[in-house]
Amino acid sequence: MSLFFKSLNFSFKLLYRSSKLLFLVYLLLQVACSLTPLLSTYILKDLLNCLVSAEPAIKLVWLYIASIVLFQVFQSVQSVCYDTIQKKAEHQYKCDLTEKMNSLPLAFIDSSEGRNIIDEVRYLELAVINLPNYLIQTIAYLFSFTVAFSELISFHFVFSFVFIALTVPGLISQYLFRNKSDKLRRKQAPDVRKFCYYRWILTDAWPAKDVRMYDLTQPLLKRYDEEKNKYLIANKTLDKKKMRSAIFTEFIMRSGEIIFSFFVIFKAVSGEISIGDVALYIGFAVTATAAFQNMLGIILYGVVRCAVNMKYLFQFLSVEVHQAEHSARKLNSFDSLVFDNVFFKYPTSDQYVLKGVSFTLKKGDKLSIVGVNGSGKSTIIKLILGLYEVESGRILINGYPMSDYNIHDVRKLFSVLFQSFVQYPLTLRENIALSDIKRINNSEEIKTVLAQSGIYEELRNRHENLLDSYMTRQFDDNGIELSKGQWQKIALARAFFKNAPIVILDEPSAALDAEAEDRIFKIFEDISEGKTCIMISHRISSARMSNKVIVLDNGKIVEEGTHNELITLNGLYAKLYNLQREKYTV
Amino acid sequence: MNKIKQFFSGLLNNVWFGMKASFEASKFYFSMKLIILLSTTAIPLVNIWLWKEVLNGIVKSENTGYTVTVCLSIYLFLKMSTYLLDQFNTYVNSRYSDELHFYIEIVMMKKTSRMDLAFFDSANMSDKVRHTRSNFGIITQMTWLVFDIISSFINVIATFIIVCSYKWWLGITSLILLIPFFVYNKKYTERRLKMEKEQLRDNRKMDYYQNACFNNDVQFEIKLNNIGRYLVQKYKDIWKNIYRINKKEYIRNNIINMLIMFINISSEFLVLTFSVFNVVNQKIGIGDLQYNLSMTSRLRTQAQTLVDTINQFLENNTRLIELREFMNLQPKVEKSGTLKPSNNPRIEFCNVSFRYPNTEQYVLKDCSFTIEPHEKVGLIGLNGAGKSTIFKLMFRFYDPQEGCIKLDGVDLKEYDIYAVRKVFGVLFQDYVTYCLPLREIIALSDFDERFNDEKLKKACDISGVSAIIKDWEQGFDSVLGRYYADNGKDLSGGQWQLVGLARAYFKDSEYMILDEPSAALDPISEDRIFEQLYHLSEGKTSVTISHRLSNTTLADKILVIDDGHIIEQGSHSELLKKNGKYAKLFNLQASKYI
Repeated sequence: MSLFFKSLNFSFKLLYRSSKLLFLVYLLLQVACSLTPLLSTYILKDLLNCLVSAEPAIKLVWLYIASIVLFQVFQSVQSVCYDTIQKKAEHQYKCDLTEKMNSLPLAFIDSSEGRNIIDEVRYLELAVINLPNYLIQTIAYLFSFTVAFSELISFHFVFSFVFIALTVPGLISQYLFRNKSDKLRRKQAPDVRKFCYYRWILTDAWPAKDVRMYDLTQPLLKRYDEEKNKYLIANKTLDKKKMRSAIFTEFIMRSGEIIFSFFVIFKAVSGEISIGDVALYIGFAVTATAAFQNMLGIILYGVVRCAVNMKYLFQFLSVEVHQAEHSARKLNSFDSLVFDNVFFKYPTSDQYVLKGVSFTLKKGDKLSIVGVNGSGKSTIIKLILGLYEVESGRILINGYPMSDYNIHDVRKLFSVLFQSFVQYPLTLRENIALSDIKRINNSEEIKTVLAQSGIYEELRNRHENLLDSYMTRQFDDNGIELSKGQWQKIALARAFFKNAPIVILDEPSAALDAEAEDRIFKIFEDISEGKTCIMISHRISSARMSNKVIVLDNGKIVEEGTHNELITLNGLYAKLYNLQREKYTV
Repeated sequence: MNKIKQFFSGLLNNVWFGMKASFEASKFYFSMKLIILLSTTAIPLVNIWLWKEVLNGIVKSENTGYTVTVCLSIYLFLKMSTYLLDQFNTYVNSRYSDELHFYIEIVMMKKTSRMDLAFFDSANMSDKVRHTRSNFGIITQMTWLVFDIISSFINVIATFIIVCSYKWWLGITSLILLIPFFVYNKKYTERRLKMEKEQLRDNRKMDYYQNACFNNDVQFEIKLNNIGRYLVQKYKDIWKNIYRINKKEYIRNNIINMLIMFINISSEFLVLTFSVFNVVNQKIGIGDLQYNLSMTSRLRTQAQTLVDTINQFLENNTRLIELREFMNLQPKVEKSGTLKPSNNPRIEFCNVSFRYPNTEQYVLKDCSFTIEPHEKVGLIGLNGAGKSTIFKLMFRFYDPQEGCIKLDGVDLKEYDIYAVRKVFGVLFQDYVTYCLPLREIIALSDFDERFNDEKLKKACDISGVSAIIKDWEQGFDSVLGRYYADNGKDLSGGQWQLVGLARAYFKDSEYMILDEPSAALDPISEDRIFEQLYHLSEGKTSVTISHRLSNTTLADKILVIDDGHIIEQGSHSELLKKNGKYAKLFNLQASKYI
């Protein structure tokens, strides 16, 4: 019950917040709309009375016309209000949701619990918006039920109650089946995702080459069919059961109506009531049952279910966004970063990715992280940025634990090129400036970083209004299409644009040609003035330029030192380095 | 006249198309729906008659007990049947909508997955896809709308006759007053359809901004650069813009509709005033007044419904025309030759020039080279020089504008393209990180073989995936990524590339094409891959792109591509001697290791 009021409160607030006055107008109109027809009925009655007694009635005719016109006006204004409110509230809901999403810790987003909750709330807007409506409808049904039922009672006391009682099995069965299908839906969610994934493969641009190369249409459609059939069969079985039970309960309910009809008609045959009354009482009976059914139906499946689903929403909204902003320690400059015996595993896995990693990064350092695939290199970057929290051990910035600082301040320290950098199908300007959005209008600097990463020359003549051209054709048929290597340069430019004290490059040259790679490494070499740099690269030669190399293997630091020291050590690093070197000295 | 004829034949054609598709979606449930529809229209008609008999029987009340009982019993039986039929109908509807949903999805999948790759390069196409997907439901509506139109038409005629029998001019005036309603509604529908189309792209953009926030890779950058607010703001801006335009239109429409409503409703006022006048003059009774009033109002509402239905029918017709345009799109590439290629074809590019559809810049310019069978070829060039494009032309993802590509001396277009594609084992540069069971991810290249564990194991051994999965309890059935499995395995960037390589090797092809196979790999894996390529695959042909020039030194032939054509070719030592572009690039990298 408290959940119900909480949900109702939330819905009303959302509606009010999104459309303010309009919402109040809508509520008033709702009342007006239900009153005006009554008014016109009364006027009509008066009018007829006047005519019977042959009094002058022209005034009433006008009044009647006015009331009808008024009703039409109210109704259309009300529907305009309703549509507008709905649209606005839907939008508001999506915005709130996305904003919250952006503040959530990655650990929550990744966890299976988090994913379930996010899935539940993403398309909940209709439930939230409709809740107040359900309430209004319930009241309307209650009203018509009371009117019809009181008439029925005056006609036949026992019958009327039996009558209502007969609707109960139907309501119960509907309620049970509603719950069952909810359960089924939740259970099927992973399966649905599965066949949706096959659909994605067949219809999306990214896997399109594979689909054509391997002629996947038929085989994947077959897989899709298999998965979807499982889903359909489960649905069908439940639907069938539901149908059988619905027919049965409907039969019970309608039997009452039929017996009642017999009863009324024979009363008419025996002359106890008039013919006019036959239709009247049957009408009341039908209205009363329908209203009763609808009323309870809305309460049970509409209101209750809304409230139940909104439980997830409240869970979602109450996820703690860590990092208390007020008690934060000031972070103006960077001195040092220390990993102190850090252990870490991803929230959904029980395998440790980092097992006791310790190292120190000082201002002005150029650190290279070397290791085989899957040794935990990129994970270190994610921890440095506070994207995940460590399992045990500490990460210190300037000597204090990272959690002492406002996380946004910490992240401001870093310019990062992720290995899985994003290719935004937006304008070139946005693609660069998304690392420091405040300076989005600084075209000169954008051009500078584009030149720095070596892509400006190629692009400058391709488009008249280069910076505001779209990348890819997703949203513009004149969009710029780039190769993978060119995209990497864009992502590099984005990292440079932020101009933060620490630069982190995760495989910056993976897709780059030799010249571009050379330029990037030169930048790494020259970047010294007060800047700190971390580089992950399988081009081990890049480690020669750094003053410190750490070698990761299976989540542990196995070697540490300068290039020369590690070569002398003749361990994993030397092995990797020589493997590459040999090939250039053939 | 001809135009009208054309329009109607088009209309009929569309209705027929709609019915056929609705029937195909699920033959059983569609027929059920039709039967139910017919019986639910027929039963009430019978019942009206029965009810009349019952009432008559009661009024006469002599010796009619038997007839009343029989009629009443049949009446109530039929009524009960309708109720129960309603419940059955709910079931049929629910089933049918499920079936229809999947029918639509499958049709869309078949269509898009067979289109040329260029299909994905166009924003207009993406708009079309979205438009089609969201409009597909109307194909079944066409069928029901035909029934609706017929039944409302009958209703209108019936009421019209009643009203006319009172005063003929009243019926006609009522209908004439509806003309503005009809005309405006049709105009408005056209406007709305146009607006809808114009807003398709903005809607897609809006979706992008929102969905981006629910994507993990984007979340990294959102958190790092604190751009969540910016993305949401962009979303809000687009929404506001659309909202503003729609609101204007919406309010305008509502005001006009209200005015039109007054015109329509004035027929009732006319009757009212006229009848009141008559009542006062005692020409008609009060009962007549009420009767006239209710009949006129019935005529109005029924005629409005008819107009609404017709309008909707016409609107759907317009939508259907576009939908069918989309459905009639055909791939250009697929349906050409029938020749089957050999396993180790000789590939020849003859003066090939190519630019991507709708672009002006040529990516390949007069590009010629030959790759002999059993040759190991390295393809070298700067970013954006056109290396990957060569592969795309080879598999006919696109066709060149000029020049031709020959397979064993015969134009590629003469071949059955799917047979050609089957020849090659390929790793694309932007290999997809599929979230599926490992078995399926690797076996995508030869999907029917996916339960062949031996073959899977071989591919994993060659690529080095075996080392990653050795501790996995579920082996090949482990799911990668966490799209639909909570316990899905996450791989690092390099490990994903190894999986991509396993897919290329799984096909067991004589001809390997690898586009930057070691971009994300560590030196050990890289060494193994090229060892495999150059030493362990005697007799196989391979073409490899790599920016790490040390990898292709062992190639029989190195093609250096610059600005869309081949500028140098030869073996590693020849090219070094030549001291051109290749030598420059190679020495640049080598200098780092000296």
